[in-house]
Amino acid sequence: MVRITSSDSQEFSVSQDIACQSQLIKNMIEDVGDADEQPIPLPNVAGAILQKGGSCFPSISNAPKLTLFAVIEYATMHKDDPPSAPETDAKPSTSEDIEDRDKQFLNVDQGTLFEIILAANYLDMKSLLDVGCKTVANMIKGKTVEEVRALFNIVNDFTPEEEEQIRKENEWCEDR
Amino acid sequence: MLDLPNEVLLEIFEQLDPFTVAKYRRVCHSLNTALTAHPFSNLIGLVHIGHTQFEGGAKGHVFCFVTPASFGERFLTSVQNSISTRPGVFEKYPVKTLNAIPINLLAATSETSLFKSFPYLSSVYTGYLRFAGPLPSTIGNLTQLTSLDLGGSEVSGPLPRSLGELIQLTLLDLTYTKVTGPLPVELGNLVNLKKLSVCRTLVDGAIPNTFGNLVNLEVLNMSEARLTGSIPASFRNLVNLLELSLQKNELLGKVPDIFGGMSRLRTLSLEHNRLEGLIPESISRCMQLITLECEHNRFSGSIPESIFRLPLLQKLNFKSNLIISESPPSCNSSAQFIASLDLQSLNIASNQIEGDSFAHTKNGVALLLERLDLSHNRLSGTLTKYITSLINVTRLRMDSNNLVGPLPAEIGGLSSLRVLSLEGNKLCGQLPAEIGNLPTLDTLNLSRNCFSSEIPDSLRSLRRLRILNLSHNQLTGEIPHGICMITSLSTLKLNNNNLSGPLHGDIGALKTMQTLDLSHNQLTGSVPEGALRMPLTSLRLNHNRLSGPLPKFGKWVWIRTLRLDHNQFSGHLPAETGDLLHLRELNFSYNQLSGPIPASIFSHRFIESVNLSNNSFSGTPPIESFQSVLKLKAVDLSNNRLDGVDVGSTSARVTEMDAQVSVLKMEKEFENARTKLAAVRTVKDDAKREGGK
Repeated sequence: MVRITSSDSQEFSVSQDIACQSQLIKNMIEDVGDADEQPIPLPNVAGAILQKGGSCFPSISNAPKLTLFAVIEYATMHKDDPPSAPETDAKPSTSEDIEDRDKQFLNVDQGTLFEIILAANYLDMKSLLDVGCKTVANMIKGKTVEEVRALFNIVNDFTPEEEEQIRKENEWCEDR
Repeated sequence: MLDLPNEVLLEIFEQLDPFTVAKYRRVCHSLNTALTAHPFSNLIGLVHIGHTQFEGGAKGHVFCFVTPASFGERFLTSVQNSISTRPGVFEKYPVKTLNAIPINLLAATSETSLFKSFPYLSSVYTGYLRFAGPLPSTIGNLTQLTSLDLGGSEVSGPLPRSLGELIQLTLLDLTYTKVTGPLPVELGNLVNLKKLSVCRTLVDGAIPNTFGNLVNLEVLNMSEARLTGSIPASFRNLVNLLELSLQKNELLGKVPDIFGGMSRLRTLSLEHNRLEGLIPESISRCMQLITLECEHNRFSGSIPESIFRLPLLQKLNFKSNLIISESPPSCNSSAQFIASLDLQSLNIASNQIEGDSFAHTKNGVALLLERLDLSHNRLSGTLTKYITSLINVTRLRMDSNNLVGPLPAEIGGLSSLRVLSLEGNKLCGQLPAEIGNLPTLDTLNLSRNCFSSEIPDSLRSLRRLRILNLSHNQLTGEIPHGICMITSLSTLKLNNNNLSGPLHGDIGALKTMQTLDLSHNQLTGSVPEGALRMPLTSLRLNHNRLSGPLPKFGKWVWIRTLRLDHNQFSGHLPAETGDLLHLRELNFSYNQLSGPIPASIFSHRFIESVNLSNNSFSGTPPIESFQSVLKLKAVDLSNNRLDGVDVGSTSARVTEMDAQVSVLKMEKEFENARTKLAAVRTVKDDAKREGGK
């Protein structure tokens, strides 16, 4: 077992094969040696509170799943996956091919989704980052610029002239 | 979302169709920055824009390169419109339905692997997959490419500088494409290139010096483009070259002495440029050289003698230069040695030719010669030494020189000879019977010399001879019967000699004879009936002493020029000959022909000139029959015994008739012309009456 500690000092014990889906943790274990001696600190991953429905992390209040917990849940779900083949570009991945269980898993609010993606990125969990990004991409797909702004609550920070200039440059793809 | 680190943002957008994500640049500054940077700026894709439908059902699929910046309806439409429709019919796919398929930069190793993103084409023969349109500036991202063969494709536009980033390329072939503009300096970075071709393209400007870095090049073909400037001295580094083809450009200046290290060079083509100065001496160190073509330049000085000693040289061409030959031209070339106008140096040239030029041939060099063309030079001396050792020569041309003396009997030893052309020299004496020993001879042209013997009957053995031209000599005797045995003859010119005797009846055996010129001899007798069997297009028997009736020339349905004038033919013209569709010129003048002039003589549809003057024709000339002849330009009926024609005024009359014919031709107003002709007649009649008073 491996002990890991979140930024809010919650400690988890997980089996090594689950923990090592994070390349970051895997590297740390290899650096530190005996993993049992001391917990692995993950100061950038918050939300390691176990109680369901509660939260001590303001940015994801009311989140049904908390980040590190969620990440561990994902890793557990995938612990028996065959090791991912070395990246080949032979078959371009598309945002369509997400497993149903992952779809289910990432069926969360936007804030949580981004937290999970951030955590996956930090923990260097390629497969989780991948499905996370695909999920966001699917949210964007087919939407207009205005819809994307609204969806992610992004403020248009262009001047009208700047926006017109880009619109001109993009004439070829705007209407597609 | 904007809180996500940049690499995560990019990962999200990389999941989307890379050729549509650019529209999200407009969302906000952060996305604009992300979506205009790597990897989106590097994208290169292919669009399947249509196919060419060939006869027989095969389809040629056409693709163009796109980038996010170029991908759009306007661009795709312009590429589709640039595609030539031949061969086959090009079917454009509607641009709104077109998708760009990104090229997998890591898997793209050759032009054919670019199509792997189109699985539905996997069974299509790669020969049916073609590129069109411009090469994108991002092509430099295809860094795994080892081969880019776009030869014969519809690729167009300027060559992107980023091609210089494809440093694994061993082959870059743009032959026969519409690429334009200068050759990028950066191509000099492609040090692994073994073959580079921009042959038959629209590239222009100078050859970059950096091409001297391409030390692995074996084939460098930049011919038939629009290159200017001079040949870079840096080419001296290209020591692995097998072929250097720079012909048919606008290259200028001196050729640097760069060939010393090119020990593998087999082909050096510099012809049709504006190169000048001396032929570089170092060419003679290319011991593997087989072909050296320098014609149509402005090379001057003399050809380095050592070049003639290259052991494998087969083709050497210096035609149309400014070379002053003081060295022996014992070469297999179409050399044009324009000698200095200084007579003394001219003599030196000829002396050397006689003296030592064939020292090389004795060393066996000339044994390889197949074609020797030394026409239009100032070569003098006798032929003997030139000919003896050229045992492999198939084409020997030394027209328009100052060669003297006989045609040596050794000529019969050149058993591979197909063309022997020595027109316009001062060769004299006998035609040796040994000419008959050349079984493969196709063309024998000895015209405009001073040969004075009889024509040897041994010519009968030349069973493949098509062209025999012995005109403008002083040949005597009869035309040997053996000539009638050369059934392959299509052109026989024995005109302007002193030949006598009759035409042999067997001349009809020459079943492919088209051009027969025996004019200006002293031939006698009549034209044998058999002659009508020849499919003649041109017959000139004028200026002989032929007699008897005219041949039944209506049988020569292909005849274009028929000249029987200045003989002693007698009898009448045939009343009907049929329409000789090809006949342009008919001249029976200065004979003893009599009887009426039949209208049919003018009835040939495209006849331009009829001369029946100086005969004894009588009756009324069929002037009205001129009217239907559109092209008739000249008619001469003078000095006959035609009715209503005062002998003294015939020439005037003919002139007026010519004028009428011109009116006919130009205005095609037949009625008008008839009226005028009637007027002419009235005038004539009046003149006659007055003359009679």
